[in-house]
Amino acid sequence: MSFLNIIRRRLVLLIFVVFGVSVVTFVISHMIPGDPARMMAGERASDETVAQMREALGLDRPLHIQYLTYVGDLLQGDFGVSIRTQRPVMDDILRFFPATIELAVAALLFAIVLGIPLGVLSAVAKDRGIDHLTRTLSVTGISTPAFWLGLLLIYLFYGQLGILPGSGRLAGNMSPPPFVTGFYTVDSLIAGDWAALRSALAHLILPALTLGFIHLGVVTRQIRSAMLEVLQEDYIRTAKASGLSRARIVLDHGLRNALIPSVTMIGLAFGDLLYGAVLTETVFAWPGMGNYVVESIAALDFPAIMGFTVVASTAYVLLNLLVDLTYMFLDPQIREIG
Amino acid sequence: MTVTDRPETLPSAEADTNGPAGATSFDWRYVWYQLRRSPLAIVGLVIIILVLATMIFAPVLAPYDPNAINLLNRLAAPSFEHWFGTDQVGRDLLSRVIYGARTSVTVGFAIVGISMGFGVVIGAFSGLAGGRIDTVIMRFMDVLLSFPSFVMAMALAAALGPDLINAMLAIAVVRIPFYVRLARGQALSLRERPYVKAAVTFGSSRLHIVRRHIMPNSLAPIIVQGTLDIGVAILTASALSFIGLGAQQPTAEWGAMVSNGRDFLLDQWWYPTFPGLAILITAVGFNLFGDGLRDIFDPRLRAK
Amino acid sequence: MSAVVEVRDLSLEFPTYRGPVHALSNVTLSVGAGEIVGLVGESGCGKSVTSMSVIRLLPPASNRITEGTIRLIGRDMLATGERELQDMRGKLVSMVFQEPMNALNPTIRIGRQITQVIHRHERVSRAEAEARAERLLAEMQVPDAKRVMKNYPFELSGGMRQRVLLAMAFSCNPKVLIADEPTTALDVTVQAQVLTLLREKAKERGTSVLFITHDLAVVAQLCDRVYVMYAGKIVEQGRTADVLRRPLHPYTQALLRSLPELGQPKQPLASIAGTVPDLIHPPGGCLFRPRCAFAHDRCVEVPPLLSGGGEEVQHAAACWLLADGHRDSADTGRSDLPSNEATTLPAKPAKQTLLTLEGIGMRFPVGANWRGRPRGYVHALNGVELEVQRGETLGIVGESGCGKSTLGQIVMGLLRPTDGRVLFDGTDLGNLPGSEMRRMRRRFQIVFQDPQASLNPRMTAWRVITEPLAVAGGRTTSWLKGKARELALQVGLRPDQLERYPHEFSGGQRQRIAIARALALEPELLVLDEPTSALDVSVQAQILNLLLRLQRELDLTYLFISHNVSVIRHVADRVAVMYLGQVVELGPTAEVLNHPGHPYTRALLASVPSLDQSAELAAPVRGVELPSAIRLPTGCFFRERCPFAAAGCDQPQPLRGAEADRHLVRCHRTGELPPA
Repeated sequence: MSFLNIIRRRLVLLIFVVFGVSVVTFVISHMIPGDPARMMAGERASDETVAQMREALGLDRPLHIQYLTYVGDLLQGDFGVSIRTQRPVMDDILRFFPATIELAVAALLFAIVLGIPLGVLSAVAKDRGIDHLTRTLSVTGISTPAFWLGLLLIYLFYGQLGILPGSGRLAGNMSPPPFVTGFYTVDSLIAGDWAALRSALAHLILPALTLGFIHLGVVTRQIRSAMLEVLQEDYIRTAKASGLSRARIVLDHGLRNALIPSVTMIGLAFGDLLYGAVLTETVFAWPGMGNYVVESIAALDFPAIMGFTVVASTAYVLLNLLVDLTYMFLDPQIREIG
Repeated sequence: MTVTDRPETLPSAEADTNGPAGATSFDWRYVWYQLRRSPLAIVGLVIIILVLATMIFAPVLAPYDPNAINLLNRLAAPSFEHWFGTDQVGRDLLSRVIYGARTSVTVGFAIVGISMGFGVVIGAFSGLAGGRIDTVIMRFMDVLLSFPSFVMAMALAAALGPDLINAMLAIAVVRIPFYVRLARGQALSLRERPYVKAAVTFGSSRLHIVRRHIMPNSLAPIIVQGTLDIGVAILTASALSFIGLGAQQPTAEWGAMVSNGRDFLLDQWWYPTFPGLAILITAVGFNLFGDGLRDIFDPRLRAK
Repeated sequence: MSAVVEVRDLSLEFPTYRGPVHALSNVTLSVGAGEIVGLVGESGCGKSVTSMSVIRLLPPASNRITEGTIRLIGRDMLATGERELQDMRGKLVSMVFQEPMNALNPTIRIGRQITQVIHRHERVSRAEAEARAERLLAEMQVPDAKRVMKNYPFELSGGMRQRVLLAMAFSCNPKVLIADEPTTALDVTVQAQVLTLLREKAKERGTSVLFITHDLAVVAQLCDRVYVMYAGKIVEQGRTADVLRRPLHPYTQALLRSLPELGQPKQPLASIAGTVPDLIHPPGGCLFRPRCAFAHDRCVEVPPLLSGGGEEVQHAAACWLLADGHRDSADTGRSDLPSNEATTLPAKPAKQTLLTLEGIGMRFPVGANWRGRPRGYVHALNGVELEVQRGETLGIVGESGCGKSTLGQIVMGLLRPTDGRVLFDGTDLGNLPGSEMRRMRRRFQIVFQDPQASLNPRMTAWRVITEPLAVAGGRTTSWLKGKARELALQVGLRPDQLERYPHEFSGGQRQRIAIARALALEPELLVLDEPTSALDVSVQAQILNLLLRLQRELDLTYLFISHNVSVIRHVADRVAVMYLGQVVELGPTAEVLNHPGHPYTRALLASVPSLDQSAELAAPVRGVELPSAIRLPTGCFFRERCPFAAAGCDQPQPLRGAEADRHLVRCHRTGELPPA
């Protein structure tokens, strides 16, 4: 399959996904216990006010009209107004989005930079001490509740040692650097604000470690099993019979081929970072989308929850597209024919 | 286009084995032999057995009633009387962690049971039906798989209302497509086996083929996946509880206990620590054992 | 002659969960400078293990060398460290393996895979290495070497990949080349080319070759000397001509006699009773004893290698028969044929057509665009017309990709042909309603190639055998078990083993189970799709004998599909030769195979290695690649590779023959060709 085909397929899928998400979120908004109009109007509003609110929200119209209006709004980026913050949901999401991405990228970097060598090491030393150690580490990572690990780290590094901050993105007395990328670390670097950079990095460490540790497990396990599979291929035997050095066999012949299937897995894991991010951000009061959605859940702020769901799903599909393209770029059989 | 695409293959000289020595996945002696060589899988198995025992014998093991409130002994540090300390209303945390095994592990099994049950039936049906039905079902599953599962579970659970059963259902529903894909893949690959083709040639009904050939032979990989998934399900359910979408007071549930203990973290570290450790250990158990099983049953990883 | 490879008394074990497997016991062999030495034996005999041990390629944890020495070019390989071993591999000794499809790294360009080896062992510039790689490819008759350097392995065919691997193996001018079944996965025409190439290049460069194979005919064509292995032991050794002409060991004798090329067509072959011993609990003494027709008291002791005497230098076998007093019986063993199989040919029944294939065409979609529509089609079958007469065996022979197995599946109704009709006993199978079809299906059954894959691993043998009857319904378990016993006896299985699972049987026994299952419904026609191709020759002989006997006893009709010309020659009354989805030649077996009319049939026959060393191995085809079945050639499909192609060949060729329906050839130049 060629690049163009993949892109076309993914875009068609994207349309279906957004359609599916819109249906799901629409249905969910109508499933919720309680009356959204009353919720909007407030507990003590009169029935008349509620009726007015219902009309204003279009809740008195037939369902399919309501749905079409809803989709039309979605397409224009209008996700409604958050009940909790009283701001357009889209504005909220745009404000919190970069923080989540910054956290996710930092976590993924940690997981990949450490996970690939560990996975390779584990596969090469299969069933030996170092393998058991690495596998224990990776299984622990996969099995650790992110929220709990976050709490432990806060207790240790903030509560007991007092060397790292336990919440937020920046020290309370600092103002964020001028907006360029939305990543505080990058933006403060661009602005040359070293104090802000140090603070941003210090705040990033624990959340990134929390989120990264879980994905370290995923990456290590994936690389290990892909390497084990590749290392018993016939071409590895050919390489051995040609006298190539062990390092060359493992890294050039082995890892090169093990990375191809792993790209998909690691890409999907990046999508799952959203999941971990929700929990990590909650624990560290990290002002990202995850934190936003959990606070919205507590307030039963459905426009916000649904807006988040739509944006997260779309991002997830686009990410998958990117992963597919990377995969195709790495596999010569697809690249050359493409 | 190279010759690789042609439907026929040349015979391999190695296909005939040397008498009855060839072990298959159904040689339980072989499975046990492999398990014994894999200490981590044994550790996993032991953990699972201990957790299940804790679940079953909770009333015997727990020193106190998990819901007995003792306001005079709030937030007590671990001691001989209260090994894991007490919570903010003086309930014994050890007893609550023990009873929590019942909630968390049951939920884990239920999630996997529901998603596996529905997923396998749909997947096998789709794979065997083939043609347009298969295409439609699989396209639909592609769409479902493109949803970020935790986010969808969160949205669903939020909509259904914060409750453990709702959280469980939400997680189970979003995990169905994984099993659909797995079971369909199994059905498709088994359908090409010569013994299934042979069964077609003597006029077997579809039902016979599914019951006699497809089901027994696709069980192993699905069970392996299920074992690994129980760990994931327990983690996910506890995560939903942690953000307030799962178990509610006064149910003893590990995720909810960590959530409650969070406010006391800096002064009463033990409160959130022990329930979280219970989640970790249980998930480790299922993951280790599942990994071990996969190594045994996955022929690609089996040493040549 | 100084030996470059010297293995002495090598014994090796593999630890398993059932206990250690004694894979090699006291193997002693040597390869002299410039010599080509064969190591031959059936699967599991330890020949590959021996070759891998020579360059210490077995993963150290998986095996244990209990005694012996390995010397390679004077160096003690068991005392050499891993670093030094790496320096030797690829430089002094290199190796080519069986599966060329996976032996090259799929993500690295061909050129770099070769230059990598050169750079590893020699200090040369990049340009020099590349030039040498290109020269090597050209030397290995890779067309367009410059382009191939930039290709990835998936862009090359299996034969081409094996040439690349040979280029790699020769890249640093090794003293020794170890070739482990390098042509087994290849088609015969490609095998002939690769073998010729290997022999030429090795002799040119003075490289010693240790050639591992299961095929005695390949040994005859290639090797100066040969070692025969059985159950981890060398049982016979000597010059190829001596061993093949006057085998000393009963095992070698039996192995040769079980080859269909040495038997009379349709007559039972001598087969070796029993199976290879379990090497976890090997029998004491001579390992062949339980299966040997000449076993006597002394065989409980391990026999030493004893000389065959006479002027045959180095010809020796590990058999007590060669000790004084027994030498005569060793020779008389040759003409011995089992007497329990009847040897008379059945009377030909009156001619009656049982199966008719009318204009069968089959296309498979390949690739998919973004809407899931196919981007092209593989034209697997292109207008096949065949008739099978009741009681006969129609052999279908051809190389991979010729569509023979697809044809078998279409006959069985497992695939629905894109064009044409299948008539069974006059009934068109294409438009039968389901229930009728189900009843009809009982009358024709199939036996597949791989007996392991064709039996459900979770069913006991009796359930497998009676599955067709159970499906039909209405039978009690005890009736089914009784029937299973009957069928088991008919195919030569022990009825007391029917409660076992398939993995507890050997390959040959599994194929017997599959045959019993096919017979359960008392069919009239059996489609045999490469039924012996996954089996060792001694087991193949047993199965061929069984099939011939069953045909006589049960009056069966066979559609026998095989890539193996010798097997077809042995079993078939008539033969159809297929090429690119067409029947190119059809006629009585002896007629077609002794006087081939089509240039492709000639090429195919000339490529089959013969036990007769004087026969020249040749593959008279032009070019090396089979044309694409996606874009079929115009006119005669063989035109581009045909040495006799001329004007007129660009027109489609019909099957024609002088006498209608006797010997048909799809070539308009048949009459003009020089005699084969």
